[in-house]
Amino acid sequence: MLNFFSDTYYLFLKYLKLTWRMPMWTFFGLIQPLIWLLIYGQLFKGLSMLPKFPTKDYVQFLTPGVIIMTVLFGASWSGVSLLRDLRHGVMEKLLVAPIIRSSIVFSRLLHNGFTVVIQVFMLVIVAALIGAGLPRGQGLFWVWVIILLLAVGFSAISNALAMFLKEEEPLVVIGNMLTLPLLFFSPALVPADFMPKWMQVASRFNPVTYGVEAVRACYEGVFVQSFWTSMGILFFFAGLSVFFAVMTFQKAE
Amino acid sequence: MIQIDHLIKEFDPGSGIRAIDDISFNVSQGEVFGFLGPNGAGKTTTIKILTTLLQPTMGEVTVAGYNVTDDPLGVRMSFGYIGQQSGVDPALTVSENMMLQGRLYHLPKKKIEERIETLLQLFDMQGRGGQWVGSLSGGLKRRLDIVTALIHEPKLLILDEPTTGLDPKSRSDLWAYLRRLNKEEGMTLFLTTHHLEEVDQLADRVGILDSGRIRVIGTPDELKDSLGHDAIHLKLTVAIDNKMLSTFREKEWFKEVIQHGEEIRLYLEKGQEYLSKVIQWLTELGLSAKSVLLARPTFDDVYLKYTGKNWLLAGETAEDEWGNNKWAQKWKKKGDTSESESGSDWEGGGGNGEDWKKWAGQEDSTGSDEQKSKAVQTEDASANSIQSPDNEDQPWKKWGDQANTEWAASDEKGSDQKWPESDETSKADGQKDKPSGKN
Ligand SMILES: Nc1ncnc2c1ncn2[C@@H]1O[C@H](COP(=O)(O)OP(=O)(O)OP(=O)(O)O)[C@@H](O)[C@H]1O
Ligand SMILES: [Mg+2]
Repeated sequence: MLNFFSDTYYLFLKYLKLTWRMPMWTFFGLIQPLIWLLIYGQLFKGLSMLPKFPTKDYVQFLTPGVIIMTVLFGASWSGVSLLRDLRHGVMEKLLVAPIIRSSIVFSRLLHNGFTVVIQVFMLVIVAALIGAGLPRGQGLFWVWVIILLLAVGFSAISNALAMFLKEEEPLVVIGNMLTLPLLFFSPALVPADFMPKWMQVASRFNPVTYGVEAVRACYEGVFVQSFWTSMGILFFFAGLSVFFAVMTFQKAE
Repeated sequence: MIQIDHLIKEFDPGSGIRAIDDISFNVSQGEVFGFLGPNGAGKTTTIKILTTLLQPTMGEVTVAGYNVTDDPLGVRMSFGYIGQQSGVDPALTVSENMMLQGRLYHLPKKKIEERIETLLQLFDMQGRGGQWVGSLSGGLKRRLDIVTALIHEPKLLILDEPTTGLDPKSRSDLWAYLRRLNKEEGMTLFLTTHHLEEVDQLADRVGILDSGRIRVIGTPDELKDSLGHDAIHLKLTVAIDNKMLSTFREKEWFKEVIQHGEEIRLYLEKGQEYLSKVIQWLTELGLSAKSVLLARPTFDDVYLKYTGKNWLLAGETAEDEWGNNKWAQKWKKKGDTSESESGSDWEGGGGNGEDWKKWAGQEDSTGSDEQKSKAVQTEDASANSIQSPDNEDQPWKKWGDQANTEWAASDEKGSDQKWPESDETSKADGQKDKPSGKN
């Protein structure tokens, strides 16, 4: 057990070092969410004039969605960087070392969560500057938990897929194919009421939905039953994905 | 140190397609064991099983006393591994890589720092601790791979094609380091390679692997001796066919007859004595030679003998598979140069037997076999190339036609005869069996 923590720690430190040395990647990950926030936010400004629209300002509505978008994009890169390790033989070297193999997974997920938190932090500041406000009360705490859970969950899936596919191209294609629909089948960009009924139903099976709703609750400062349900579902989703990823690594050949 | 007992690996269990097809052998402490084989032979697969990256489908594999299936963690503690790809992180420095490696083997920081210093010194890399791995040359990077793998003081080093992609200088440097590790530290080395020279230079024992089977195991000398003391490389004015080959094979003089491209290689004892007889015999058969070369068998020849089956029978596919392989290209080049060299020598007039004898006497005590045969081809080529009488008006074909029916019958036998032999040796491997040539 002690080994598990030390293995995870030293690997996490290594990944952190790599990120620290190539900070550009962290910023690149922010470009697309910023475009959404700044440009689409303006483009669809009129949306908030519609009757039944939940917020006065579309940017206010959009910010939680874009936060989750950042998490998704960031997490889907995690698998790609795993392939880098595979290609250089770094992974093989880890797999023949007498470490607890799940520490490879955990260090990667922690690192990804950490990077995404930094990205979101910068995004939250930009959003605040253009009038989206800040999370309120205990929301200031919970919002990071939500982000961490979703980041860990999705990067676990990305890592498992990478381990399974072993090729960069299909991984990127699948990553792209999944992230946008996941966003569209959620209330990230438009309120759930605006979606056709069948999409509303489908969105209930999408972890992104719960992430968006929970972050929105943080911004509103309203922590009622539905918030805690969302949190529970996010915990469950993260746990399941991590379990799945650990299993693929245990069997890794 | 390593015991492999009837190991079988099927990537797709139940498919019957075996990447490793029932191999058994042992590597003892302090030994350098070289695993030689073409692409796809199963070298990496074997190594992955030894290093617990893959599970055996069947069979027992023990490394340093630990069973790879039952105690993978014990196995992992006991060896250092240098994979086919580098494995050090290019975005970290030399010492950061080594520090991380030490941490992953759960050594205390102090100990790791000591090891880093000792190892960098041992591999002449002092002062490079702070250097980016990405900025290291190929040879240095490979050295770093070894250094990193040694951090936890293993007694066994497993290397998968350690010198592939290195220039000749870096390669021989690396050999020197490995040899020193073995001699001075008593390190057991298990390495795979495409380079015949590499096993010749390093290995105490060599296993030749082809299509997942061990064709033969022995010391480099044993393997070379299995071919007889000398080799005659023969290029004829007509195309080689199976009938011709079996004629050669049936001749009692030769221990082994192998076709290599346009060349027939005849392996025999006392090549000098027989050289003139062979040429005379060729004349009797109505054949004429474009070039004749007397050489010591090298690992090229040994390799050809034991994996040549691939080369000959699966001609096209083998070419394709090996087309973009450095090793194959190197070999091709070798063939080309010797061709052009001997070609030009012919113009300069055929040598004579006396010169040849002189050469043999001079060279006998010098250098490795590899060097010797190079000397044959370059410095003294005219002396040992002997032109046979020009017999072009008696084409081989005519002679072949006469005996057509006879040859057709013995044809298949001829080629079959040879290979089961090596199958036998592969079954009886494990013990140091000396392969029996064709005697
Ligand atoms: N993961 C895998 N799944 C299925 N087949 C595989 C796998 N890895 C290797 N093989 C097959 O097993 C055989 C042996 O491959 P292996 O990599 O061990 O060869 P090798 O001797 O190391 O060759 P090389 O010189 O190219 O490194 C090949 O036919 C290869 O196609
Ligand atoms: Mg290989």
